[in-house]
Amino acid sequence: MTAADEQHIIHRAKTGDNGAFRLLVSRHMKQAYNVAYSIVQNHHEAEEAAQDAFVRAFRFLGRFREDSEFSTWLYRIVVNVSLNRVKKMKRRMSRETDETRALTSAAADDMHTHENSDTMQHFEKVLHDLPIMQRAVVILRHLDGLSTKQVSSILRCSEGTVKTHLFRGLRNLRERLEFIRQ
Amino acid sequence: MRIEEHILNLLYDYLLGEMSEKERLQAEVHLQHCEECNAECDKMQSTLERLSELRYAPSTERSSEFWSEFPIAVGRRLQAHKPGGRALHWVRWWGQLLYGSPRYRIAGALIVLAVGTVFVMKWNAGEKQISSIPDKGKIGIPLELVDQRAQKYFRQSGVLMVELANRKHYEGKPTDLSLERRVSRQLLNEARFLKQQPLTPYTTQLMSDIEPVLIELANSEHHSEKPTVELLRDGIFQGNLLFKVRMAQIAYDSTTRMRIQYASMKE
Repeated sequence: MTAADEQHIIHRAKTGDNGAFRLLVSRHMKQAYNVAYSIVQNHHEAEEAAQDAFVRAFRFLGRFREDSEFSTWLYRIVVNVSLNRVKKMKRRMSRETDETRALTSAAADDMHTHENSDTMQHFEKVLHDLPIMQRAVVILRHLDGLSTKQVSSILRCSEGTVKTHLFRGLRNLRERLEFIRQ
Repeated sequence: MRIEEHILNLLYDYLLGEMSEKERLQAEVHLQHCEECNAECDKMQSTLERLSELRYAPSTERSSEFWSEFPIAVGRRLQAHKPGGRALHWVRWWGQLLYGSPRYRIAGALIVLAVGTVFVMKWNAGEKQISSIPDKGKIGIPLELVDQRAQKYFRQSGVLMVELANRKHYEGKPTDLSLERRVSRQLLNEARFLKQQPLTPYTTQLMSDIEPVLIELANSEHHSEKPTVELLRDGIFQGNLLFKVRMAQIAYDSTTRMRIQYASMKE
């Protein structure tokens, strides 16, 4: 699908054409899911966040000014929805009783030991343990292959801020890996 | 020694090739001389290489059925979000008045203003009602009604004084008497009306005994210190007002009961 085709589909979707919007969903759903997963770290939550983001995108499609790519605009919504879900998840977690927390941490330790057996899985775990903004920029920039400009547009911050987060994320990643190796 | 952050950002740009030719040449010259930056550059390069190996896409872990179902699930959600499609739609609508666009916020402010005006008007109407109690000279009030109001007056005075007598005072904390002040003002108004009615001398005397306590309370501060509460309590105990008010209540209860019995016998 060319950019002109997508623009035409967006115009149709703006007039309330559900079929056109469905085409947009099919085109961007996997990437939106990956972006959501990079933040929420959970398949169920990623599914919910991605679907919720598409619903919001449809409702606010009239506000899309087409001065940026549709994917950038959509991922910005996905990031916002996902960050909100993470906040809710944290609130839920803080309500957990000590007993449940102990059980969860025991299970996590088991998982951790198991994951250590595979280096790449271990690397992935360290990546996912990074602070949320650092993790999001590293994944969006280096795993999802978006440009620094796109990432700055999605997260509504300057390219300099994105680079700072990226740099700190990469340094944290390296330091944590070195610490574990020792 | 740690390298400054803006230099590290430049190294990052250099590794990703996100800089002009001139900047790239300058960076290379710097890297030939600076061991720290060179070491940092190598480490960053290896981290980036490992990241590129990872290329993890969680979407690949979901089945093809999941992806064929995904647009349908979004469609279902869209249906549910249509106006009136959800029971909680009105909650979101009210939320718009608080957090929505300026137009919605102005509408919300106008609603609050309208409700506030109605509330203030009702409140003032209530105040006027209390202050415009008709006296006997202008409107003849049936004796039964006078007795009922005297009965209510003594019952409320009793409750107020029992409350004051039992009020605990915590050191260093002022006591909130705002409710008591409001009630005492209403009772003073009521006493003014009742004194103009044909009551027994005992009742009129008792009302005069209660009056100083009510006046003192009505003029007290919102949050009174210990001495004010103690003064009121002394006034109640010294005049033996609790006992006297209780007696008056019993007398009026029995009078009202007798009147009701007499009225039913007449019928």
